[in-house]
Amino acid sequence: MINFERFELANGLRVIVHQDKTTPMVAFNLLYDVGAKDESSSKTGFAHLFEHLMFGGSLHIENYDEVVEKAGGQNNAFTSNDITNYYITLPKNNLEHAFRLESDRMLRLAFTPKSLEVQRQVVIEEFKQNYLNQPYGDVHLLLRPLAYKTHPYQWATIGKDISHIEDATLEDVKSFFYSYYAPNNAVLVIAGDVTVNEIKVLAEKWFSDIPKRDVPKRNLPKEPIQHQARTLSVERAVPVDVIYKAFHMCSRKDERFFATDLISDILSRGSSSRLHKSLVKEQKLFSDIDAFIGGDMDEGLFYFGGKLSAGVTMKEAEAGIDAEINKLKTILVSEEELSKVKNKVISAHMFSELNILNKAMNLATSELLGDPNLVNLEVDLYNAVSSAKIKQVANAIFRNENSNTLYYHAK
Amino acid sequence: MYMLDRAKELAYNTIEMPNFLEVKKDTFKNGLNLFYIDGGDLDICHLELIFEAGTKVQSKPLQAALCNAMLLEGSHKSSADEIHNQIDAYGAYTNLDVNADRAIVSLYTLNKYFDTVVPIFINAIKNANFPEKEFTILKEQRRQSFRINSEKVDFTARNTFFGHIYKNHSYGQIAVLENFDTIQREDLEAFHALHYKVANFKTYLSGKIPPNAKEILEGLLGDWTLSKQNPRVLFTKKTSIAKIHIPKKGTLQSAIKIGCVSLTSHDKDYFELKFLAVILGGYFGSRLMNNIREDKGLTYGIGAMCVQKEEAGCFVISTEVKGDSVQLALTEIYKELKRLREELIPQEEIKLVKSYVMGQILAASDGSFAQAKLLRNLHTNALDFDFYKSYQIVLNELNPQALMDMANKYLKEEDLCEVVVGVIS
Repeated sequence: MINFERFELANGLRVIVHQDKTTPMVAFNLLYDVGAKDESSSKTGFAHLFEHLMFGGSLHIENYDEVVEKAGGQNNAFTSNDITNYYITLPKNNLEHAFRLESDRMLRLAFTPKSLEVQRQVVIEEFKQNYLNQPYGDVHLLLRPLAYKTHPYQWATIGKDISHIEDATLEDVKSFFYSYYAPNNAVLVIAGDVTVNEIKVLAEKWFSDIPKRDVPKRNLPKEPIQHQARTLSVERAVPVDVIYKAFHMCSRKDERFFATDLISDILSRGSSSRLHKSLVKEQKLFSDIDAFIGGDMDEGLFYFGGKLSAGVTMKEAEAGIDAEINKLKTILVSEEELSKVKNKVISAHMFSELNILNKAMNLATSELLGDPNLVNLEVDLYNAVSSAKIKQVANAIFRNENSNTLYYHAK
Repeated sequence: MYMLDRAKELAYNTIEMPNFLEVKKDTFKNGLNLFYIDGGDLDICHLELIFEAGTKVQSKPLQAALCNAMLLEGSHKSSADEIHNQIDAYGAYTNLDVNADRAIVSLYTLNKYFDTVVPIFINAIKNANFPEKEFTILKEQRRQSFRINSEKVDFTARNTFFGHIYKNHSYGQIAVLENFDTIQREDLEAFHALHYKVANFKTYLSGKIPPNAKEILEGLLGDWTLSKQNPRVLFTKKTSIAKIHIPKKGTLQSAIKIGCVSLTSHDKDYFELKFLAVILGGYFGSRLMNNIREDKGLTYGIGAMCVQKEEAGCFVISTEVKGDSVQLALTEIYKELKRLREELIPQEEIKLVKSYVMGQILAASDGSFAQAKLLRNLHTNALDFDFYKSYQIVLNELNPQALMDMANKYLKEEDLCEVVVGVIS
């Protein structure tokens, strides 16, 4: 159970405070409700490039990192298709530095041309290091546009193409900032040995004079229902064939989400899971195979991804996956198996509460979903899933015409 | 009206060394030590068994890693499926890992299942029998991963680098693909008999300690046959210094490793050298990050660190840079090393890095789980939490001249080995 209190500033900034008296550290997590899905299709990769620019100095503070380091803190950020999240963990007695830093860059960035030039290069190197110069690094760059034809989930956060990063201008940067980096588009969570009253004082002091901004109303096109199976074959200089299958699934807010997540656990959480036992150990079709959900806010994807054993054809491998899918669609999961995956989820939930930053991020995400308390209800929602529900959801998702298959052949 | 002065820097409060939790110890009749670090509100705990079964004691490559990875894959009493089914059914998590010095075998469990899960876990490890079926599967998995990793410039650079600097030590024994053809399940059985069944190991329990933990663990561990710890043989032999450049076609980035065999945590200069590595490349605002990433945009990341090993640590700089910029990156890296040897580090920079390091220590010791992990790593190097007291003293007394002397003693360009894999211009 994660305790919390919530308040809002007049400019719309939502603030959530979690008290944990056992730690000398405080987690300061600032989530902006903007991600790669808010980009235009001709300027992809921008939300992520922007995240880099956030460290290039703000109106009154030239060097962000230096302040964090002097305060004995650590900071980082990540961009997803849905959100951009910034966090600092630092010793409690230096907490106010985090307020000064984050409020100053919410107020205004420095927008220096040098920062844009350098970060553009850094992001291009990141693109190469993680996506192009890694075996299988481009899998998701291929799968997304195969599965999405309309919704902006069709590109990855790094972007569709390096040229979009190369072409970004300082004007683009400024307009993105004033559109999305606004108190009324952010959620601040503080977790640590703090009281709500002291956080109220600090939040008022540092954030209240930042004006509310006109955040564009999000109006994303819905991905139309897929009516025909799609496939893509590529050949790359990699040592081993791999196969990916992606099926459209429900959104994070949908009540079917919990059953869907448990399906991925039944299939592939732990060494006693079905895919490992059947496809790796018994049939030896794969050396390794996973089933997982993408974790997106809007209607996302349910993935299978496996490395084929030597001598196994794509057709045999795919038939193995299909047979496992078919079992889920036709046979009720036993109570024993269902309670096993539920126990795993419950204990994972408990272990995640060991870490204040985890707790802060979970609260922020829950707030974005509509209620910070959702994080405390999750265990019950998982527990409530029945075998019949699993079968019903499996039948809804795992339809051949809803599938997107990537055959990734070794040259 | 009060106006907020945003430009004014706030005062920085001093960061104190953390309060380490009390370490309690039980010694069982066989002499085995169980260390407890009790703390936390949640009804969960973490059990770790740390064996002296790292890669340094193996007689052939892959032996230590595969033996460790198979500890839960079947025993005289239970099949792999039975073991995994039970562990998963109780919502427990296990983690198996091997480094150069130690094998780490750990279990995270809810306290309400402690009595049930712990015996399953410990009996599996003690009685592991390495079934052929599971062995073949694991070997094929690892072989495939190895082939995939071999495509990565960083993997090749790392193996080449460690293989070279530790040429005359088992730390330098690097696996090659052919090793997967010759390793047998009997090799694992032999390794298990020598380093697990009869073992030098220590155990750690952290979290909210169940009241009957001692009783349960003594019953399971108290009759384990212990072996003597191998004497620590310090490795000081200097390897020939080399510049090894391995071309790899069609790669967009090149991996660079620069470094040498260096100090262990028992050397009196260790702390200063470790601090110097942080200044050079141990944090986001470090000299190398500022120069190579933030000023020139040649890389996504670059780092320098002192790697702690029981018999011989090493110093290493590591990065992946833009394919056509290897020469520029090398020139700048050596320039930064030269600056450490020839220019006094400004007091302000020392102060900043000191705060950064203190913050790191505080974060790394947050909670009983984290402190148990620190403690077992300290024990591997025959140290305990008092290490941090010595570290505090060194941090208080750091001065620019002493740091420059360290750089001249340990970071001479002619003593460093250089490995580049990728585009060689």
